[in-house]
Amino acid sequence: MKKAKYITTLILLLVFASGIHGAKFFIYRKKGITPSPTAAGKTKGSLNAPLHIVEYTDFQCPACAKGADFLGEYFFKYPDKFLVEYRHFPLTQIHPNALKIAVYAECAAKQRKFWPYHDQLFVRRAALAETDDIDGNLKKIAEELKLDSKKLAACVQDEKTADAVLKEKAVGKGLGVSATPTYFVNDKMAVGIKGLTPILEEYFKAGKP
Amino acid sequence: MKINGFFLGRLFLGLIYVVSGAEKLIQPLENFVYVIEGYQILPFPVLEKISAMVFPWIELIIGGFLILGLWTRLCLIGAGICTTSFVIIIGQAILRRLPLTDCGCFGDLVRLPLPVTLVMDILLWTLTAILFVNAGKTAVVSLDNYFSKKH
Repeated sequence: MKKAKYITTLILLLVFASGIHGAKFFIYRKKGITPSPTAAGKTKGSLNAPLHIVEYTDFQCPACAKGADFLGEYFFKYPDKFLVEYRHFPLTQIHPNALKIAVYAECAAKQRKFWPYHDQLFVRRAALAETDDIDGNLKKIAEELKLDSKKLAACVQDEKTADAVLKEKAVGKGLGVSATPTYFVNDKMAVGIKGLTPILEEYFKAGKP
Repeated sequence: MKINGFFLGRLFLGLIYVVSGAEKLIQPLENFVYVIEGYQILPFPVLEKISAMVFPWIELIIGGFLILGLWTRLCLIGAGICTTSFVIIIGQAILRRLPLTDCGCFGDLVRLPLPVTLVMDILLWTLTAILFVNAGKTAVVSLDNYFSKKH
């Protein structure tokens, strides 16, 4: 009977392994990075760049702020090597203001001021996390960057904007994004700066064109 | 066959481990590597990657076998080692005030703050200990019983 117990154990281990691999295959089949309908205005760099980075971030996430600085340094040094596309992934469970901030950023993109707005959101991340007047603060950034306030207000109040942000997040979830920042470098997933660093170092050490 | 509280406790503990392990295994590996990195406990990235690859399988197997009542004592020892590790890892993260907003234990399913997770792990450790001490009663309706009776 001991033999039967060992055989049962082995069969169960195979069942568990098959179950997990089957579930992964079913969930992630055909899931490559597809162009985002809301990419316009949230992309920077050279269209012919060898490194296409799609980043899923949350403007309230401290690691994302560091990631923005980190990637920004590389972008500054090698602007023709990168095409960087920002995609929203507000972690609303732990950052209550994240969705609202993402909506404002999405509206800034419509006025072609996404990246300056993005930079200010990270610079003021801590203050935005603690403020009682999040709308006031976000409007203030928009004023400083000379966004059209009426267009901004209409965009922020339009439900379609929040829907677009959440849809972008849902696409990210479908790709397996769970934490922020998550990067896809030429479709290869990397989570956090520690995950991104080896990919970038390997590329630049190899002296690739 | 008498279903008792120990049997239900075994099922509950098994379910926790199955959900925790399966959730991590179904997500891309990079997500759990990131969680482990956040605890700043392993000295080398390669160890973090190996842990991320191996640990969820251990959770899934312990959980699945506890539910089925197979190798129950061994799984309870494993569960005890796991929860002891969790308490140490999360405890040190709290003491060092690491910038972690949630434990990463259940991936995207549930985001639990570290103090809540610590309490939960202490309770799970207690449950594991109780089940282990009462192994005979825990093993009702189990494959262990089935195989030992046939023998």
